[in-house]
Amino acid sequence: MTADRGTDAEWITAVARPNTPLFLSFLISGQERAKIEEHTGLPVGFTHIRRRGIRLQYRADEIAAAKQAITELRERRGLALFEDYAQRCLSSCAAFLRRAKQLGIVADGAAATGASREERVDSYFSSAIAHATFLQTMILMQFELETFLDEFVADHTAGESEGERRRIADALKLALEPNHEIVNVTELLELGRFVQETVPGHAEWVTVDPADLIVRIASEFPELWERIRSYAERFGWMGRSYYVGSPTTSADVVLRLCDVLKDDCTERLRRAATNRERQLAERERAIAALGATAQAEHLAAVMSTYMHLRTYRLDVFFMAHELMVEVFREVARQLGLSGYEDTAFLAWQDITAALAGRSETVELTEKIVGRRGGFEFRATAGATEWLPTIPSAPSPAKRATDGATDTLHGVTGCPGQYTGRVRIIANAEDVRAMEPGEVLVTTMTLPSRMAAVEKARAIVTDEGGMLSHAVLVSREFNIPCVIGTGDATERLRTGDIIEVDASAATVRVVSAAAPDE
Amino acid sequence: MRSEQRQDSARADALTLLPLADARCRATDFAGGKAAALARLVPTLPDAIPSAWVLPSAAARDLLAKASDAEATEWMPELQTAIERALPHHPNGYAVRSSATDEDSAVRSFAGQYETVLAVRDPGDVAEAVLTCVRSGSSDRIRAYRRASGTDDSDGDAPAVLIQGMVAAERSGVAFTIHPVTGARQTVLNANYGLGDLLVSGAVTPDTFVVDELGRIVQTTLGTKRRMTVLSHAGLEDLPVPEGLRERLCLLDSDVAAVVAAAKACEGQLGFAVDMEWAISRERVFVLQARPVTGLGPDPGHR
Repeated sequence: MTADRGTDAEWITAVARPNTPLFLSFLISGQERAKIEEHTGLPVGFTHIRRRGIRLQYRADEIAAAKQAITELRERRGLALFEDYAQRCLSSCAAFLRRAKQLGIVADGAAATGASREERVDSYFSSAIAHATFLQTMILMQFELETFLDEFVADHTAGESEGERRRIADALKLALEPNHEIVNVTELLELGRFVQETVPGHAEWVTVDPADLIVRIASEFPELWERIRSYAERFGWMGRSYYVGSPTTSADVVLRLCDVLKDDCTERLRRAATNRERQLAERERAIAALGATAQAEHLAAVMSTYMHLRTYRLDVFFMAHELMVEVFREVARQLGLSGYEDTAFLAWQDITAALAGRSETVELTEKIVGRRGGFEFRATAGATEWLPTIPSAPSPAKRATDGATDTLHGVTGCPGQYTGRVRIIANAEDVRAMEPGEVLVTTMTLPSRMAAVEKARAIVTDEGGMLSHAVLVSREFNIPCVIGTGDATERLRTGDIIEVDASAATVRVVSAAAPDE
Repeated sequence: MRSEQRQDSARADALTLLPLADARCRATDFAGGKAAALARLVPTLPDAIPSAWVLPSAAARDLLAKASDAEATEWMPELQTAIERALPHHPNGYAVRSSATDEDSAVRSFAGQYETVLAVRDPGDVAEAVLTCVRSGSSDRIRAYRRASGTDDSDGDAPAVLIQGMVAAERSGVAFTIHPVTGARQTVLNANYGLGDLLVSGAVTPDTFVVDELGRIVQTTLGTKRRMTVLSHAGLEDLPVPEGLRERLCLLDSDVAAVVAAAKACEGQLGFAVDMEWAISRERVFVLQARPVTGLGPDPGHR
């Protein structure tokens, strides 16, 4: 979370995410204080939320109160607080996925669950709302855990330099269980290695039109095609984010495969494995530096769980919804909507009311059309008001006039240096246009942007958290990464050449792109 | 005439499949319209006509009679043996299409389509597909039509069957050597990625190219091309076209020229303006079907 510079100081702006009304309606339904307390056991909560442009905003006083409450709990309970909370989140994720599997497998199967479609949708919504309660709380908990970690390191490494302490703390921020995004990239590289090792003539594939390659692989390479299909099936949900977009298909996988085949996949996998080994060794050294006590081991384990949970919790939301896709297709048909994606622009309350026959297709269509162009809402305790869209004013140019002195500062996500061409990634079109070797500059990385991450030689994000998605992925693949620059996406332009010094957490513009690029 | 033919083929071997290149296949009453047109094109376009085999009309009628009167165990093994004997292993499997002698008659237009079964691999499945085609001439709908129109009170007719090696089409579509809407002397192409079945059924909006008599592309219309059918070892797969590929034309100018050249060659050989189904695979143009353009039909984009 970064402070909303220059506007209402009473509000804190969360990182920009392509939230949809349906997703937000799960989130904000869980934001009432009592519900959060019930589901998380933490006396924190947000009664006021609003959305401006693409950013969610929370009341500064509520965030402060929540932080205060968590700090007090941490002082009283120590590491057990974080462990309990993580366990609660993990079991909540598991329960939600299980529920979605039960409800979603048979599209029109009242017989399968003994419930009507309306009941199944209601049940899914209830489960999502219960699960959503900890979304905002989770981020605050992570911040608090980092504070706990920093203090623990300071207490146990008397005489060490600040830099050494930083190194020890960083080494503990390693997810032991690879998250979906990392598995996604690793397995794509394995597909690439399979091609490079077993397919004669694959070197020519880079010159073949991708549309032809899809057909040729499907008809001539049965084993490879089966692997591609299985990959697409398992990671199809990653193609959508926040319930919109298209799931990844075998054809998309072939296009991504074309990109990774430009590299030596065996070498890339070897580098990733070496990097992983080095990280694990560093983690061991860090635990040793902290005295190799049971307490240090315990802290490292809890930290690792948070690193995993950070992305897993959001992934579970998308995976579960993908299991429900057939149900929502039917809901869309029943309500007279044009398709599955339309349901993402309705709040769950809208869908429930319409299924109960309390609203007309035309009302729903108006909401969908209105919100597709952008939306704002104001959620207060117990009530959500969807406001008419206010066209956002063009943001003032933040670009420095003197490119040579334009330096951005952030936080080191993964150390290293790289100089290259900027690619601002705001949508799927940008992901496709990205060339291997460019620097990925984005508000935040998302599962649906993995195709861009795997092409990137460095990553720069607006977003802040040390436990963020971008950090996780960049560290796994040893890609220099600077996070929390605040406004890199506004100050840089596609085509700029920048020098990313991730170790120093700076980004310097070497040469600006031509103005019309 | 018909009964004589039946006796002839019965005396020979009722269930022999002939290669399309066999000169007898060039006669419509022997091989049906679809197969005969392709057979006539073999000498002109030897590389563009997929390898194919024909179950002649007479043999098809025999098969239909046996299939109606006798248990499958009596004639199925014979059919399967004939198929295994005639057809080499084809990695992409076969397209099994009915090839009726009355292709362009009112019956056909009423019945919509005689059968086509795509991507059949196993000889047993080919046999089933052949039967489906043979029976399609006596479907309930066609019989009902025949009864209602009083044109024929028989049990219907059995079309000949064309068994083509499947082409793993990278692009495919249709081509008309006369503009199907305006009647102008222009060649009109519709094209989509993958196999042509979605395009022919009207399920996708293809790209359209209009080419004048001098071979110049005078008009292109970008279609939405949301879906494509891909031939894999598991059969046909309907996939969404990746977004980056939708927004560009699926044919290069050189592809357009190659398809137009094939269509013009068909027109020259057959002697009439053609409505041709084509496919491109590995930089080769294949002609899957060529028939006369019958009158000025509807917009090719909505066939």
